[in-house]
Amino acid sequence: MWFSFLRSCAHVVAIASGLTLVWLAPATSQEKGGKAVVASVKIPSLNPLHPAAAVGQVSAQLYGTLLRMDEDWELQPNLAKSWQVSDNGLQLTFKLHPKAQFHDGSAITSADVKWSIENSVANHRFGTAMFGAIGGIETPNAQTIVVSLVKPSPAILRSMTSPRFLPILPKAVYGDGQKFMKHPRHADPVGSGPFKLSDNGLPSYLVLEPFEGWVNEGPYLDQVVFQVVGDQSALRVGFQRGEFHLASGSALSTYRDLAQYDELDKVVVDPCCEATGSIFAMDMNNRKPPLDDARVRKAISMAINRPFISEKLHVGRTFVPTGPIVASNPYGMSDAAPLEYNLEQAKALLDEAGYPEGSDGNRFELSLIHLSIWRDLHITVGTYLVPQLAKVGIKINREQMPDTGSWGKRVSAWNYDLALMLPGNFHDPTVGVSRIYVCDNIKNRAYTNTSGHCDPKTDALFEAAAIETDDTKRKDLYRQVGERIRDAMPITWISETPTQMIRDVRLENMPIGGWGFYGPMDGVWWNAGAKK
Amino acid sequence: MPVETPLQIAPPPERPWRTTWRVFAANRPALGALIVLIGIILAGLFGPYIVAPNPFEMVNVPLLPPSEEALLGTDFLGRDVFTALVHGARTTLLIGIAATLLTMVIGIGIGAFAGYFGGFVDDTLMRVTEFFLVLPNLVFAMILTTLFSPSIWMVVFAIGVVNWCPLARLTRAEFVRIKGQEFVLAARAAGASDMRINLRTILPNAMPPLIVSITLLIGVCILFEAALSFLGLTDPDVMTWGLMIGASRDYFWDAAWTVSYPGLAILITVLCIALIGDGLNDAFNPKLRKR
Amino acid sequence: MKGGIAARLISGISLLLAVVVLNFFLIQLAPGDAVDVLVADGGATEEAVKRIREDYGLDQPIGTQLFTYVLNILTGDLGYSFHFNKQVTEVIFEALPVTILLGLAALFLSSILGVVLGVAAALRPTHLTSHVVTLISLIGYATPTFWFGMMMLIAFASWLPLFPAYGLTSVPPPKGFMPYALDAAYHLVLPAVTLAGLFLASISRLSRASMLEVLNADYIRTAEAMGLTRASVIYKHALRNAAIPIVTMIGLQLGQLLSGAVLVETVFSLPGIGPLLFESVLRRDYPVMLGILLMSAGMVIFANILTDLTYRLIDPRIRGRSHAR
Repeated sequence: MWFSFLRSCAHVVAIASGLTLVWLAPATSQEKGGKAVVASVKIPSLNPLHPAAAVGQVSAQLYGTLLRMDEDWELQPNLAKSWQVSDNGLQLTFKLHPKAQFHDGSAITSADVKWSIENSVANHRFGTAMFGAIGGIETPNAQTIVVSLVKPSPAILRSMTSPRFLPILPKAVYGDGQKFMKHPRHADPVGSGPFKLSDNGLPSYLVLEPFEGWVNEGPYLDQVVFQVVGDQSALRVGFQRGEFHLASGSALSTYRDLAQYDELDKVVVDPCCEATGSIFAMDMNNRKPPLDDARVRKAISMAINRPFISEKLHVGRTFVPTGPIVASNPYGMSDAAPLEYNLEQAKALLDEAGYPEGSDGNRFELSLIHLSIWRDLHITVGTYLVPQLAKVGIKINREQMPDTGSWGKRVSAWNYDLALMLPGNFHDPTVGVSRIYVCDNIKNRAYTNTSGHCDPKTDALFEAAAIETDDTKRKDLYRQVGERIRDAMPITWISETPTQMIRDVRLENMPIGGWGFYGPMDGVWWNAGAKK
Repeated sequence: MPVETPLQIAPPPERPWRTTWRVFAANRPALGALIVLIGIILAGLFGPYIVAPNPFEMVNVPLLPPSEEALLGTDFLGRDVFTALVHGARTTLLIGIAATLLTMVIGIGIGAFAGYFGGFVDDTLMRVTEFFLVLPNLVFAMILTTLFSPSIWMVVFAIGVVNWCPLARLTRAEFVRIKGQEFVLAARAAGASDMRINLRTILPNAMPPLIVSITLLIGVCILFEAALSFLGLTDPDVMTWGLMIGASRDYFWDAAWTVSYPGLAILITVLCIALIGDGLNDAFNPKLRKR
Repeated sequence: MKGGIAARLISGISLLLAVVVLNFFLIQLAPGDAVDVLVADGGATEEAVKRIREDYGLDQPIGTQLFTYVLNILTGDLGYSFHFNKQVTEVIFEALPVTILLGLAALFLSSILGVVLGVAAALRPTHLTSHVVTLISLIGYATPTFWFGMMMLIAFASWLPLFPAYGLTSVPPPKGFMPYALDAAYHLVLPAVTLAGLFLASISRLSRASMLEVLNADYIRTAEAMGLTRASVIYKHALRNAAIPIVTMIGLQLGQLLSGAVLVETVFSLPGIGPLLFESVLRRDYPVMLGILLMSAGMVIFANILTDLTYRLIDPRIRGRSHAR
């Protein structure tokens, strides 16, 4: 009896504490309200096809897309309620959401979608790379769009998930015959995204408010404010005071600076936005000796201590790459061995290739060009490489280019031995990766196959993978081509450099993977009680 | 009056240099400035051999305040400020002097031609001068250094191209003034019609105000180079005082020493140059001195 | 006199055209055009590059490009900026008010203070005032503007946090005209003082020298001998004559003012012409760059003409006297 009384007490205590805990726990379901302030660098324009990243963050909220991509890289409906791919992969059918509207109240029709696709093909920098497989677009009725492809294009659906690639725009407003890239309505845009522009205070700020005609759940936030901040210290102060809630850490700070945000009470810094896939690489001009010898290139690659760079120079914010495609990409070689660091073997390879050390310790000289922006990458690594490669007897003449124009000119003219660069992988190898390695993209232009490497088998693998609709087979093909390129080492990869997102933890449900903050924030809500 | 005095090309009425020096030396600020400037020049000449040879080397922990380990602290890449300061003395002065030389060649050349020949040549050259005067000099120099490669020679070229106008005007005015004087007419009459000889006669007389101008010009060129370096528009492999300030732009809040010392160095150097220039001006023209 | 003005205007316009042609050819000589920069920012497909070249008109022969450019200028069209998706005139006019405000504030401060100091020093040549003024003007001359700005920031925005450290307004900017204007004025104090420092030096020096010269001139001594009070001598006669070179100098400083503004705006992160020019140079945004150069040359020419007119107004007797300074 005594014992059963104790047991009942225990039950009561348990239930009481349970209830108390539930009562004290922070809200776990979405609540409406709250204002998110995004600290941004200068936003030059509201043209969704503008290449600047800062514009991309805004476009993601203002402009809608047919489909969206979640943090697992899976496709989800958006303005298109459903979609179908034919068995042979050559026909895509989209059905628009019946309530899909533009910000001016007009309905989104198939004619608008058709116009938007044609607009992106014509005016986006990678328009033909992403949508070049499109042969024709039919609009049997106002809700249906049928896209016919001349060859299978497994990447095309993912390309349609970013408003920076395929924003859905009203033909009536933008299709009036004026050149899109010069259109006057970019100053006063009509979008289709979850948020609409309520106050255009550029160049200082933008205020966005939820669009009532949005087809999905949300938005939950009352306002999204983009505040233009020019200064590292202003950014820091803003986060300290809780005035800023979101920012791209890559734009204004160095990697070292990011630590101070982690120390703040309610702020975290995470690598994000994998779908943009940046990989920091060193291009090697394969045309002239000694770089025409794969052993020399491999030796150079082996002489670079990537763990040191990522852990010490980049204080852990970058990662050692495994090959030409970033590990976070579905087609990356995430389980492959990281690139090797072995000074002795590097020296042996150089000896074998016929470049012994001279009396002054040097085997040969190479020029290295790099930019002045993205200081942590270009300047820090560029400076690091000089004494490091000297360890294997290579004398490096470092040339820091003052701006992208001069760098671009050197690279286009193939007037370099080594060149540091940041080729974005983007969301699919057909958009960002193959261009660097295929024979017919050897051009006098930056971010093409400037190394001059040409291997027909590699090209064949890339081509096969580009049209392979079976995802498992596709992954395998990219695996093969990745290994092949690693073996040939036409260029070498130094670090995977994800975008850094500085975020207030109270922004609940903020997308970090996938497109990260280059995707819509309609699912984000303000959780005042959130803790780190 | 006796008439048989031979027609001599009389030496122009020159102020004896010794008197000039004495007047200059009596001007204590100017003398002090000269001594300090000589000190800075010596530091620039010999300093780099005494301190560490490479100001770009990362020798210590970044952003160390001035202490035992680093006399004037370190910058954000761990480079020693004192070493950079000493190396900077040499490069900054060299660039200043090189740019001044270029400015002199262009300015005096154009001014002399315009002043001596007059007429159409004068008009055209003065139009050209006006044209260059209309372009704001830093703006134009920025555009020049960025459009072409940012080497040290480009910087010298840009500074020279942009700053020659006042010197040209002054030279022209002097030439116009002097060419009408007796000894020049005498020289011409004596058959020295070669313009070069005339330039050898006129130019030395034009020197006093030109020397003052040129001295001040060195200061102007140093300030100009500092501005271009601060904006990052110069050769990043040449350590100058301006580059030190520009490189530390994001860090000076918490590490004032990274910019205060190079800035002070520029200030002191240009101040000395200005005092010397003023002293020279007074020494050449005691009439206009009002003290 | 009318002929004089018309002649000045014509020469001004021809100067402007010369500036346009010069800049155009400078761009052609440069290694790297707008497309290279755009492409270097991440790449582009062949078709995209072709399209960008067309948009910029870079596929036309040089002569046609120059002709088109000059023709457009004459109709007030300075081109289109693809970076801002706006007409260049719009981009420049958005940034111009800040620079003009800053410049005027600095000019005002430095002129008034400079004249006061210079005249005070001239009136008491052996007093401490004179030496102090000389010292101030020398130091002001020798100090690099941007460094002075940074020192001001450390002193008055960090150690003694009296003033804001960057930007034109607080974040977010206050609503309503008066609060906004006051906020902007508050933010402009340090930059204006910095920019004024540069000119304070030369103006006070010039005022002092000019005043001294005038005070020792014969007609002043005559006036004193005739028994006029010192005050009336100073204010009625000396100042007016001393003003001439001062006014000339203030007017001609505009070019320097613009250069100084570039540096000051960069240090204080003000959204004026300075940072706009700097960034457009780095981006090879030629329309904006040329537009700014053209506009600043135009402003200098205009200021010259204005100064000339004022000069004639102040003392029509001495029209054409070229006192080499």
